[in-house]
Amino acid sequence: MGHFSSGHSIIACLGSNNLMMLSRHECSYFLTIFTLPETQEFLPTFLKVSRNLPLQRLLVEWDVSDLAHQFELEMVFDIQVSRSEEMNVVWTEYYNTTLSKLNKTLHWSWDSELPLECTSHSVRIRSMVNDERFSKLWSSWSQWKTVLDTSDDYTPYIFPEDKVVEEGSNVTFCCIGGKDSRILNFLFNYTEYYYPDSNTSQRNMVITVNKVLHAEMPGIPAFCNLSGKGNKNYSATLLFVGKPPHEPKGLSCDTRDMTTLTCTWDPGEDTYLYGSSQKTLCYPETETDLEPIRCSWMIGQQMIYNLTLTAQNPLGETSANFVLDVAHRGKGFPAPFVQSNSYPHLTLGGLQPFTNYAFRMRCGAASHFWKWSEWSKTIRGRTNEAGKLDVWREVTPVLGGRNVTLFWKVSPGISFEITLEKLGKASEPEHISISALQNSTTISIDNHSYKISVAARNNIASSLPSVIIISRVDHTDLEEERVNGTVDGIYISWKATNAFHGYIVDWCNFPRSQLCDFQWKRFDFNTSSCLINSAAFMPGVRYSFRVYGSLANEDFFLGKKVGYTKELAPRLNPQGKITEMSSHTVTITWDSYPINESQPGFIRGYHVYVKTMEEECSLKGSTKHALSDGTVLCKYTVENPEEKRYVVKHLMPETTYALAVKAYTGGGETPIDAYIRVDTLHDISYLFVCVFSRIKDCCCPEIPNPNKSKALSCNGLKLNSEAVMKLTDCIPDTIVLENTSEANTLQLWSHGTILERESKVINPSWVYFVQKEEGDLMCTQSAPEACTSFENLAYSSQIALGSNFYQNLWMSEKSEPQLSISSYQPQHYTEIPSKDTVTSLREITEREDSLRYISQMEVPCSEVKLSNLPHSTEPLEHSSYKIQTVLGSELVTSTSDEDIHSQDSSTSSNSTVLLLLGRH
Amino acid sequence: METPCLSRYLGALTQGLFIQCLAHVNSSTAPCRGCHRNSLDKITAKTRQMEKEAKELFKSYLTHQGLLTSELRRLCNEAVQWFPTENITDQPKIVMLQELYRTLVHMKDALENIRKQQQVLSTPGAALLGKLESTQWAVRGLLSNTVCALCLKGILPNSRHTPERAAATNAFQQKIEGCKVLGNYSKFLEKLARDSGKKAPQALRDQKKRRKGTKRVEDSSRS
Repeated sequence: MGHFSSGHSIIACLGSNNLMMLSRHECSYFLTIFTLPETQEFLPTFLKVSRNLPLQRLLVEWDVSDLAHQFELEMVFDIQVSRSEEMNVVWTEYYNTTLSKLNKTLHWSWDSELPLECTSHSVRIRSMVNDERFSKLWSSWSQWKTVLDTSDDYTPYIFPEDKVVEEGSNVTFCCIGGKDSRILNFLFNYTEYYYPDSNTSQRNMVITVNKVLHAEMPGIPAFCNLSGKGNKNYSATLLFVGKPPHEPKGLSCDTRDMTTLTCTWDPGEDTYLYGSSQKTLCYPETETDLEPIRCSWMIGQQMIYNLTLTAQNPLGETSANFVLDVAHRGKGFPAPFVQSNSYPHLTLGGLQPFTNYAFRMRCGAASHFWKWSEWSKTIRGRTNEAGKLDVWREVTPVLGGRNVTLFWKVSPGISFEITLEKLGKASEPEHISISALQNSTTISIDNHSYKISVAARNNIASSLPSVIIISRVDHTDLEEERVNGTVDGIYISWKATNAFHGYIVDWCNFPRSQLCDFQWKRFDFNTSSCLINSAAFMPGVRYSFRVYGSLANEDFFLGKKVGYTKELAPRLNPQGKITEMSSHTVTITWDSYPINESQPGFIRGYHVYVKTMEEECSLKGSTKHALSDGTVLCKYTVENPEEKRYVVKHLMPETTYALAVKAYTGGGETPIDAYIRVDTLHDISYLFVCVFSRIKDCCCPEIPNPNKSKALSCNGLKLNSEAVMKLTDCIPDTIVLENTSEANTLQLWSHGTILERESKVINPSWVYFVQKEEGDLMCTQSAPEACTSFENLAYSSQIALGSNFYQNLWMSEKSEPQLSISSYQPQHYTEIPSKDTVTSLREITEREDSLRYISQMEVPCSEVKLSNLPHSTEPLEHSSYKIQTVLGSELVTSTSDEDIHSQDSSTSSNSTVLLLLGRH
Repeated sequence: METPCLSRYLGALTQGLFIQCLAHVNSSTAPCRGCHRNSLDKITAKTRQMEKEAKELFKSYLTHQGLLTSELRRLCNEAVQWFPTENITDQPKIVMLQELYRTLVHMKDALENIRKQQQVLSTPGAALLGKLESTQWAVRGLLSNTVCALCLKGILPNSRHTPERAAATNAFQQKIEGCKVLGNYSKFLEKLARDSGKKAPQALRDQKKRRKGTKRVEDSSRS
């Protein structure tokens, strides 16, 4: 608060919103509020002093009474700066300002020549109203405000601490001794500095060392020697003298392994700054501390790098920019190189056109080099004719025309000009420009012939155009030929003729990739084979090679070759499924299995493996295949890869088998990893035996349908399908034995023709079950595909029972006139004693696929061996029989009443007719 | 007397981790395998050799660090707490060996600190760095011989108290700390070499006397 004395008055006028200051005579009608005395003193208050060390600046803040601000007085402030505890005033300044109502805090700053860290600095201020209307009297001084007050500190300091300075610069050191101590001398780089006369305090010493030089030591000691009390009678520090980094020179980048680019450079003269102050950062890589003057990073797709090489140390940084074309950074390496995105390869420049060259390579580790490798095999090649691009094309038919993709070998800095001209039509040629770095382009053309010219162009000139003619019909698809490959490559051959000037083979290095890395190779007219190899070739990949004959500018498709460098076993297993099954056979199919180029080898065929659950498999027609665990499987081979179905035969009924299908290639097959488990069905065999009495015609009567049987009631049995009727499904009723002499119509089929003959049939005849040597029972009924059969055991038991044989006797009904030959095997155990009969049997059976009924008429009944034939022990009274013989497609019927009579009632089994369908 | 602690001893030694185990051990047990019976002589010989190296190292350090002025050398001569204040050769042999062991363990750590510090500050390939590394190996060797000597005496070294690292100080202070260690180390070895050299003839005489006795006596005295 200011002090008031008599004198001037200040009037405050209240306007609309603003408080304005006016003199009384200007605004007599305003209210007088304040009156300022002529001698007004505004003592600076709230004085604050702080340091901005980077700027070595003292920042001073203070305030005066609000009243002074209200009146916006013009004031002058006298500011003093003093150093050390002795308060030696080193600066005095008058600071004039007009107070503002808004900004009340007053600011002033002072830049110190002496480092502010060197000693304490104190500030004090006094003020005066700078107005003629007031007496110009200074206010009292404010209190000193001190920064870095060490007056009570016993710890000595030195400044600057661990500073890094540029060589040649002047360095000012400050020693601040502890309380009650005195500085004796200062030591820097073996030079003693004594207390200078100019110094203001015994506790403070300021020494400026001019033009400091680097020393062969890591940090030059600066040492203040103190006397007096205190637990430490010195203060010391290190000064690091060096140089800012020099601009890096001689950047050199190269690669030795084609994946890592390493750059080195000359950092220039020694900066004498070592250790952690030296850091090499590699951009755009992450910041990594590496050895100086070396940076490495992985080469990606990028060919051109904008490198910024920055050298940095505590004294500064310098940068140098470099544009690096990787393709040009092969110096020091055997040859200029171009980095490929797929595998390392070199593109050699500076070769002579149309010249044969031999190449070989060797390599060594880029880091920790030990020695060179052996030389590679020598590769020979010839450069193209001078001035012409090697251009090749791929033609893909599309709707309404063709897409022609042109390929050429890219060269840095060269662009391409394509001219498209429709042949035979007067039309303007079309020009297309292709930028450098592009090594292919696709053009859509219609089905006419076109002439395409491609010329390379740089800033100066164009090359001669390479011409390709795309004919109306490019080529017809020819059968692809399989070729064998080895690790050395895939051998391609073609028939060389004089018709062509040369040959071209093209292929994709990565056929499974969208960017297939299309390749082509030209051969002269007398070459008829080549070994194609590439570092990109992988085992298990099918490569497709197209061979073209070249004549003038036109190329003719000669054939397609496909092959593997090495075939691998199929990775994908055929998904086998059981599609059909009977008691002795199982059909397994694997329809969807691909045999195309997706396979890692040519599918040569399939192996079907069958394993029994209990014992070693020894199925007929199979070969044994032992697994590593000792299991022996049955192996069947399907040699046709297109055949994706196999019927496993000779299986046991009601037996569990495990099946597996494996595809195999030239690379073999993979181990079996899964099986399909299958249980074969039950079995039953029939042999129809018609026993007739002395009736001329003998036939098997119409076979009753078990489903319609009166003797059985069966559930759920479907007709017209192969099915097994289990006895458990049927409830046996009583035997129905029809034994009448009624004429009945017998339907017989032969070769699909229904042969009808009216005859008297004893109905039914009895059915005979014969047993094959393997123990199978076989049905001899003539309509096998709809053969309704019974469980073996049921019938076996009936056979055993003998006397009850008729009780559950059935014959099947054939509903379809189709014959399954395989189901009708001649029953060899039926002994026919008559040689003639045997002969006739043989004769008859020579005709295959025929329904044959063999007459037993001539055979004396007494001589027929019936020991093996089950028969009824019960007399069949009132039965009548018909002997029927079918030869070929004709039905031959003969009867002998006598024969029948001779058998008559004693036994009905004396005369036998076998229904045989011959197929041997 | 056997102790299972001993079986862990040498393994722990290599890792710089020592297990407190003050019990006497039988010298014939596995941990003393590979120790020469004349470990004490080896210590003496090694000490003499190392004394010279230590002096050279200290001198190199002073030169390399710009500490050759008397004021700065005075700082280097300040005592380091973990160096023995008294002449350890005046102590009984076992105590001497234990003190030697303790000092060398500290020294090994201190040398590692100095080396790390100088790696940051010095020119790559500076001679001082080579000398420091060489001294580190020598200290490890002497430590190994000391352990053997103790082991043959049937004593395991006292447990190691890892010294607290000095609080982060300025570069000058680090320099002086290193200087103090190397100065103290040089003096320590100087005393050790001098005193053990004086006593060596006596030790040799004692040894010869013992050899004149029967093997049984020697064995019994050892056990």
